[in-house]
Amino acid sequence: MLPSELIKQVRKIEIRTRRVVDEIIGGAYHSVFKGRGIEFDEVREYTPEDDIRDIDWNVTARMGTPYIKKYVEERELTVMLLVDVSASGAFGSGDKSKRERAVETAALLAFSAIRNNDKVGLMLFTDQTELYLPPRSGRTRGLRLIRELMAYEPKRRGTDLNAVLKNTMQVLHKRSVVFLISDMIDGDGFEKSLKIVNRRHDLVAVRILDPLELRWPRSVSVMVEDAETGRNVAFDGSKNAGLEKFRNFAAGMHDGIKKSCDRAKVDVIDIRCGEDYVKPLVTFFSNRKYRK
Amino acid sequence: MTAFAYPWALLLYIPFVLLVIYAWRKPLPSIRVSTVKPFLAVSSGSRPSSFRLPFMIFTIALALLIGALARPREGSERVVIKAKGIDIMLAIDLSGSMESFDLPPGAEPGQQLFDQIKAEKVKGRLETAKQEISKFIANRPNDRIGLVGFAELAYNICPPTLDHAWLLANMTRLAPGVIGDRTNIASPIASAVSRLEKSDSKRRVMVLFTDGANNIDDRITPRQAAKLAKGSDVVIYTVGIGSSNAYVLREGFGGMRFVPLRDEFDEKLLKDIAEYSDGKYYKAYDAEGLENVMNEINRMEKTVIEQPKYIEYKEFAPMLTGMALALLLFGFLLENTVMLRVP
Repeated sequence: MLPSELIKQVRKIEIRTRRVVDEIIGGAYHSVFKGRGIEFDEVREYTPEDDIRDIDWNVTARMGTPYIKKYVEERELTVMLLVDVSASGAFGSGDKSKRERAVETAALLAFSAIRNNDKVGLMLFTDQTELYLPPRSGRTRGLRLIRELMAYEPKRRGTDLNAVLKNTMQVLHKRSVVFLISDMIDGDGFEKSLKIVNRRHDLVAVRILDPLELRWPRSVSVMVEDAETGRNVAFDGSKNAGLEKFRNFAAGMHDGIKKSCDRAKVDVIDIRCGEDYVKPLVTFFSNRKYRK
Repeated sequence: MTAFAYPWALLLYIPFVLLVIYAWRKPLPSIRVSTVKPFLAVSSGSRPSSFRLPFMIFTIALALLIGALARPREGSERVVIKAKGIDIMLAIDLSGSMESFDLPPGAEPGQQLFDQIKAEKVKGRLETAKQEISKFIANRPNDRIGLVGFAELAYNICPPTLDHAWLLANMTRLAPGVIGDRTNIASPIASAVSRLEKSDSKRRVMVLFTDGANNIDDRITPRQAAKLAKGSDVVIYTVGIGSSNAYVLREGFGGMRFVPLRDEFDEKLLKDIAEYSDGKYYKAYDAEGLENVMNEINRMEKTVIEQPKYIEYKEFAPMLTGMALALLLFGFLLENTVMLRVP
């Protein structure tokens, strides 16, 4: 990609994500990840949705109607983006590949964080850590992050979630919100690592999936190649039995991953290629707001 | 016989085989997916039948095309246009002495010889001559050959002809002693010359086989006949048959017995005849000797005209090419319909 083209793309993403950030996520994001200190902001009238514990009884007594104290989170959160750039991201049935979708998601999260004056760090990984940008705040950091996300050429093909999670523990000491953006196809056995990271940080797994990976359409025979191992397999997509088997296996595999995340109490956001990627994030954040 | 017009084209099979191996091993164009695990749950082969079958068809088609390139053909080496040969008259002595048997020098006739004759291992002079003449005729397919039998008289059996089958059929009918027991050498020469005179061939040859001396007084002597032949451009090869150790089977008291043959050919006369007519005289004691003589005459009477040799070939290349093209088409259709595969 040419540098000028890249910059244009970066601006576009910025604008797009900023718009999204302003319109939808901003607020949600704001309230979900409460900062550690809580700062009094103002009092306002109670609405049924509010927490009763927040009612300021002094003001309520004076005014005659219930009032609550409104707090503003003490920002200065640290957001860490772990983005999978392994070869498996090259697949995509729609107009965007999984990698591109991951980049967009990461950019959206990064700009959301920057708007809230949070520090954002980035770690690109394959089966090793490819690139690490320590958490910083500011718009320039955001642009740098996007540039790396888009232009980075990974040196290796494989995926090793254990390695990146372990590395995160090593470099990230302050409690942070960690987004793991990956297709999470890495066999099994990263559950323990998830647990370890989640104990210290707030880990959120953003799973990028392609609809074709779950349900292969009826087709003629196809040749597929594993992007990471290079293994070739012929697949007859014209037989219902085969398609059924494929569907069951894929569902089982992805459910297994989801279950290990659940066991590790890690929240999972599923983003499908070819579908809107903002909505799942919004739903997730708003759900999280009510969970507590 | 099947052969290739351009056998070196078969060398293409070497790079062809390498190419086939390479093409077989080369990974097929594939869609890159994040993981093949779900696909592996269904099948594990990396070479589907939709690849194998058209691949095999295309391989066979190409192999056929290379084969066609080498131009396989079946040639029947038959001269289509008969070259103009020479005219040959064969004169065979049919006197009674031609039924005698020539033995190797010093050999004695006895029961053993009798058995061998019965088993047809040893043949009489005429039979031996017939056998060798047949071979000679077979070697000269383009010459017109005629046949004269003689004893007391000359008997025209066959005029010079290209129909050698007919000639041979007539020759086998000959038997010794049917036209007398004595030998008249002048008469067959005259007869053969009169036959050859009318011929338009460049060279006229007569081969005279005899085992006896001229013992009949005709109107002309054999030497005069030879000069006559010279006048008509006829070359006479004379072949004296028989050895001094010859026996005839005679029926006598108490069964068959061997009688020694005293009669011998007149070598001087035969030499003269050959000399007068620019021919050559040969002596053949037995079958082997006769064979050598016939081969030599055959060699000497080489047809000198460079005759174009046409070999009729049955070409297989068009058939192979047709098959290959049909296979290619079939493979192509197969690959694009039933065995369609992406990418």
